Amino acid sequence: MRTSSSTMIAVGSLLLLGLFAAGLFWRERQHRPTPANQPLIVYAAPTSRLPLELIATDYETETGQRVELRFGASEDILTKVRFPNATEPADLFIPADDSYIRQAREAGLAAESLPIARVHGVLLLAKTNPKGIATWADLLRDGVKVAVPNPAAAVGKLARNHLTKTGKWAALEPHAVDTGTVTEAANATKIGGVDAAIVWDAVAHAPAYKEQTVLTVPELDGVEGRVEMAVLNQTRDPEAARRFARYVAASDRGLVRFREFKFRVEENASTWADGRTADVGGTK
Amino acid sequence: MTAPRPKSDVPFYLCLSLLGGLYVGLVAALLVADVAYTSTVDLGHVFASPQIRAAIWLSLISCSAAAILSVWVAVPLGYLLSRTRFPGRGFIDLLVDVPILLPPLVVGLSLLILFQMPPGAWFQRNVFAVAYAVPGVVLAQFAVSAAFAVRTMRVTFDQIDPRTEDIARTLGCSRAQAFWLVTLPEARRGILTAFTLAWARALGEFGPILVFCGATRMRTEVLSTSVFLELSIGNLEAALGVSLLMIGVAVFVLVITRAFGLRGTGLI
Repeated sequence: MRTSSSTMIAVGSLLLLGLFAAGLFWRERQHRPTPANQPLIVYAAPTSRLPLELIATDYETETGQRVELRFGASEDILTKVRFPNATEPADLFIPADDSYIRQAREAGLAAESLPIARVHGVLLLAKTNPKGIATWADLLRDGVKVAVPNPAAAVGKLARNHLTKTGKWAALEPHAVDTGTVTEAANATKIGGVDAAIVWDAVAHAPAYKEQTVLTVPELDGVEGRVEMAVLNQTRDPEAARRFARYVAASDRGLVRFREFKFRVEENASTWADGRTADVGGTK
Repeated sequence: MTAPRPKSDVPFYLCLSLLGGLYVGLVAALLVADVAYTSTVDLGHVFASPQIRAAIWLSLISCSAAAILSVWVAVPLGYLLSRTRFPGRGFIDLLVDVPILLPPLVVGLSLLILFQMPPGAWFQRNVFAVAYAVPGVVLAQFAVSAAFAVRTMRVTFDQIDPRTEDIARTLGCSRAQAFWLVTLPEARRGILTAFTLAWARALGEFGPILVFCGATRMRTEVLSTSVFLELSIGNLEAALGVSLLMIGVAVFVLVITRAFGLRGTGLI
């Protein structure tokens, strides 16, 4: 009996689908944690990605505890924390700045957090600085464009509020380009789409922008935020979550990595040995 | 009296070429800009990264699985919407377009909520994990790409003359046999278009995957997630390198699919 072309295609596609499903199952199985080695799940903003990836590797080497980092913009990871996964609830939350920690607390998602670093508003200038910007006044010259992150991003909101309070926003507003996130503002300077951007210093000092000039100006002195790590209430293993949070916030462990990436880390942080014996209350 | 000399067609074709060329020129300019901004060294870094190599494999497999699933759903649904009249047909027709109309992030959020609700949570506990896992990547890609495949198959069946199917029935075929032996082979080009469209759509899918599956390196990271992760630390060179890689992979797969799929049809 002759097989129709439709039958051949249908059977062939099902075989392929089976093959793909087997491949994906095998791949997933390789990464699936055993009950004895459940990873700690950390939702993190990409601004902390580089130090956090190193810290997670260090921690795994030192303690054997796996750490799974899941990245996303602060608003996105906050949304995910609001909808905890039935099979894999999250343990820790480290957004771009503390405004999201406050939101998490208000929503009853987190009760305790540890300070990691402070971030300050700075000006990141476009590559080669074609407009010769050296002071705040240069931003107000004709034809100068300044990227200011959207108010949904903490630096955008804080910068706008501070500049409005100090009477400088009205002059800057005609030059301001509203970008989305702080990284989008920084990327706009790297491509040359804008002449300067108001960003956090930790972002401006990232390796990706090493060829660009960072200006610290007194006009942004009051624009300050904090990077904090919150232990989530949904965690299945609060003790393990707190232990990792202490490791990240320890002056001789996690903070060393943050310092490598030019974050202004908390100066009074305890060491890993001190922290292991101390009760973790963190900032409330 | 001599017949008037026909006017030249050149201005007509020139107008068409100019208008169409605007878009072709824009796409070509985008590619040239991307190539100009990146370098072979950046591309080398991209290929050297084990995370990105893992993302390439996951993208290839998950997109292919999502595209096959899309076609399996699109063929019957497209046929029903095209050839039959039933209560609620207009509503279903509209419903199928919802994933196209919804912002991608909303699709991801809706999937996330669905799998947190009691039936979804039960499924994840007792069958297999979907959210933040590889099956979720395929589901997120399928949720959007199937809508494009259904739309394509409906148009395909609309364009196939139903008389050939009717003739097959007068010759003794049941409706199912007429569909299987006559209509489906006639719809071959449409099926291939639906598959390639679904595949390409799945490759570019980003928002639903980010929300529903996260961006976990070596686990749920697909190529579009890699672009996001590199952009988020300002590594534009790597982001563009991955983008060019996506274009290369997409062109390669689509050319191969078309070459095999249209072989013997006289269309290539």
